[in-house]
Amino acid sequence: MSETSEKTKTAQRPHEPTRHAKIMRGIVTPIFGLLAVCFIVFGVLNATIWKPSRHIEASAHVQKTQYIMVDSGVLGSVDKDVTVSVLPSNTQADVCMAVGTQKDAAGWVEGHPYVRVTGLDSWTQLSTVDQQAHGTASPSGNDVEFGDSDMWREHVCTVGQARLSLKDMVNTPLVALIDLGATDPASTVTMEWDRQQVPDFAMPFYFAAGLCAILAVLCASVFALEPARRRKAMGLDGMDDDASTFQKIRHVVHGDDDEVSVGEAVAGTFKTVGRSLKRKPRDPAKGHRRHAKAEKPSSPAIVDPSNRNMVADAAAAATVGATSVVNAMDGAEVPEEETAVISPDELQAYFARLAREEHVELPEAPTGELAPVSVNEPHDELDQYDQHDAASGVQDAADDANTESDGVEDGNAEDNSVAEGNSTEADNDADDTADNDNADGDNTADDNTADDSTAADSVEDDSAADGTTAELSADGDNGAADDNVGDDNADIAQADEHDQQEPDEDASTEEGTQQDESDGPTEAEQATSQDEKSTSEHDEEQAEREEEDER
Amino acid sequence: MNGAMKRTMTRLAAVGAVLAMGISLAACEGELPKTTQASTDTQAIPDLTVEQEDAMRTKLMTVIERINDSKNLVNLAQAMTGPELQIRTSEIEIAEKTNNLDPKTKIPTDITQTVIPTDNGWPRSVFTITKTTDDQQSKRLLVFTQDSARTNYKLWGVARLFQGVKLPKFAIPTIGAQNGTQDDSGLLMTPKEAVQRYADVLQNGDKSAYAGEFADDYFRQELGQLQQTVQQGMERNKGTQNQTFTPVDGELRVMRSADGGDLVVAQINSEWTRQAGEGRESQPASESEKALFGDGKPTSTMKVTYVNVVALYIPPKSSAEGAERVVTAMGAERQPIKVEAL
Repeated sequence: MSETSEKTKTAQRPHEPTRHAKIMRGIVTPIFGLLAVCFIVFGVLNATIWKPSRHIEASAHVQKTQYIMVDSGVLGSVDKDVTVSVLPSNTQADVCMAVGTQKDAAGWVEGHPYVRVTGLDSWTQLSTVDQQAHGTASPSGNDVEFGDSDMWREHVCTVGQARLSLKDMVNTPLVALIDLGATDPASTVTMEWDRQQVPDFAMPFYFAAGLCAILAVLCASVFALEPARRRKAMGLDGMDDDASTFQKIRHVVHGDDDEVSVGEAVAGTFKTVGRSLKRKPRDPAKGHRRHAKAEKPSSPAIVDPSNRNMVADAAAAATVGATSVVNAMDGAEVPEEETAVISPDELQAYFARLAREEHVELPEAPTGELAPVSVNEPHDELDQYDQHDAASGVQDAADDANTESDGVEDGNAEDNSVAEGNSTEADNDADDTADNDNADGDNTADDNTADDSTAADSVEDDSAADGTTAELSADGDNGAADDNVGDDNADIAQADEHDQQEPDEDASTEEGTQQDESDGPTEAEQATSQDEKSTSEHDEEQAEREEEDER
Repeated sequence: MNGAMKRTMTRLAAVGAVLAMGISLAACEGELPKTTQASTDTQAIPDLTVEQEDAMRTKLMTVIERINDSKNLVNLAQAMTGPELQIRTSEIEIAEKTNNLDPKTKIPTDITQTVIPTDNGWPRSVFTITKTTDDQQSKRLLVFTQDSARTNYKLWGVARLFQGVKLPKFAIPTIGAQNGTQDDSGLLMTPKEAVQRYADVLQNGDKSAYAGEFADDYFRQELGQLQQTVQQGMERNKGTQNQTFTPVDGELRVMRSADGGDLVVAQINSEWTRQAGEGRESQPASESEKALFGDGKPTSTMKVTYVNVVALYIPPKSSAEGAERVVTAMGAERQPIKVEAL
């Protein structure tokens, strides 16, 4: 039950988007999406409305010159086909236009000034240069008319506007020569091209739009994942054995103990959006505990040894401070290497030891005073772990000390008081583990040691939650261990659900109490590990409490 | 209300700014093209394309044909110049008298080769070799000349190529060859010298000092034979005869061949003076002379003026030794233009 609730709560965790995911999905992805849309719009505009025009028409107005020469290279500058036209101001004038080599045209205009068309000033204006006469004109009786010369490749002579369509004018040394006649001419020269290839300004925009779209998709999915999840989503294991302790803390604190695929991440995005729109009456992420029981666990119980350690660490941190956490962390690494699962026997031993410790009077009252501080703290953290049913069960039993029926709680209280003094000794987790294993068989009767410690009742409630810490201090159990044996047996009958677990704990507790002071450190070690167990047991106890409340 | 108005105005301003920015981006035509001078400017460009040469030649032939048919010499100067003008004028005059145009005036319309110069200046000459005529006459070497930029090409000279003669190689018309000058160096002799020496050889025959520099050719042989025949007749009548060959200054056209030699076409005038002895009359020696002489009164001395056009190939100095180191006559033309009874 408590286990179910834990699983439920854990299963709800993936739907809770982290801040990083919120930023990526809520801000960055829309930005990229907007950019992609903008680029596509610009691309379409550049391909349609803003498309460079195919027809280019450039002209120049020329005055007071008989000859106009279009430089070589200008004819084919925009496109290989060009149409040159000349419109004289006097529409009745004879105009001749011819195409020939540069030297031929230069020979013809020798001794005459002329105007050169040198290129394009803009897409609609031709640039012209006035050229002085060079050489001397030597007319002879054999001179022919402009249009009759053998030198021109093509020529046209008309009255009024003369047009000449030329083909393949690229990379030719040809020039165009226009003869306007000798009578004070003024004219307009126009050159028209039809571009076969216009510059493509749309493709870069399309390319940028594609890039932004890809980035948007990536931001919404892969980049929004936690680095650990992303590594997992990419096939890497985020939590190797070599993962640093800080990563593990973060891993636990952020609660990403589930592997999330990219598809689930994207689905999670839409779920987040949908959820904000629908305003569900109940936020599953914050499901109350009383509803938790109705929900079945979404996945099989995943036993993560690190979680167990983290529970103990959290409890230790609550009572002692950072050092205990550190110690707990150190201790967390060891059990991972040796054990992967908390066996029921271990829990039994723990409960046994717990029960035994409950009956220990408070030689370490000071530590017991600290117990209340940490009583309530582990609760929230304990909720995260599915596997700590046993511990929660133990804790519940301890909490139920008020109900008289549970001596386990008393035992826990005493254990807490004793354990607090020994909480600093949690360094010996390895030994504790070994001891706990050994004590499993002996702790069946130790669960209900709480019955012996009526004096501890007052502390029981406070220390119930501290059952973990209480368990750490097994020294105080020395005297109570023996007394608690019988009580443990009685309590076992009462705490049916946790029989398997509590006896284990008590057994371990009993061992810790039975041992002399010489074994104190060892017991403390045991107690430490057992206290770590009791963290989960605490959850179990809480679940038990709830169930018992319902009964 | 003011807040709403302000928001609306702000939105309108934003839309306007976006539109303005968008329109300013609108309709970029691209970069203006830069006109670069064609790289072919540095290369020599043929003065005429093959099509242009064909058009020019066809136009000229048409005019000449018309004049041939009409026997009207008024417009002949528009199509011909130089020695050919004189020759054709004589030919047409003779044709008028005899009602029969000399067959050698035939110029086929099809050509085997044309050599086009790449000269930038004027005068320019184009050499064209026609095919054989319909009646199996030899090929003609046509020389067209453009004297200035504002004039057109004219037929300057025609030389009938000798049978079996091997012309030098020239660059193809799309690449273009080059006109030479009368003082071209690097040759066996300059074109001017070649023409002068050849005239001497024509005049003196084998007794010429330069006889060894010229290969034996059909023209020399023919002339020699003619002279011999006339000489025999003159000796029977106790007459004398004399023929002098004189090259005409400036009437010389050179085209450089691909192997470094020169093909020279030149005009050589000759005067043939025949004196009949013993008080006899000196009569025209041929039909042509007779036609030219017309109704003139023969005397004891007759002077006939000929225009000869010869085509000589001068090899380069570095050519192979031996038989190659002679100037070879490729073709010739001979036409009496004036017959006088002195």
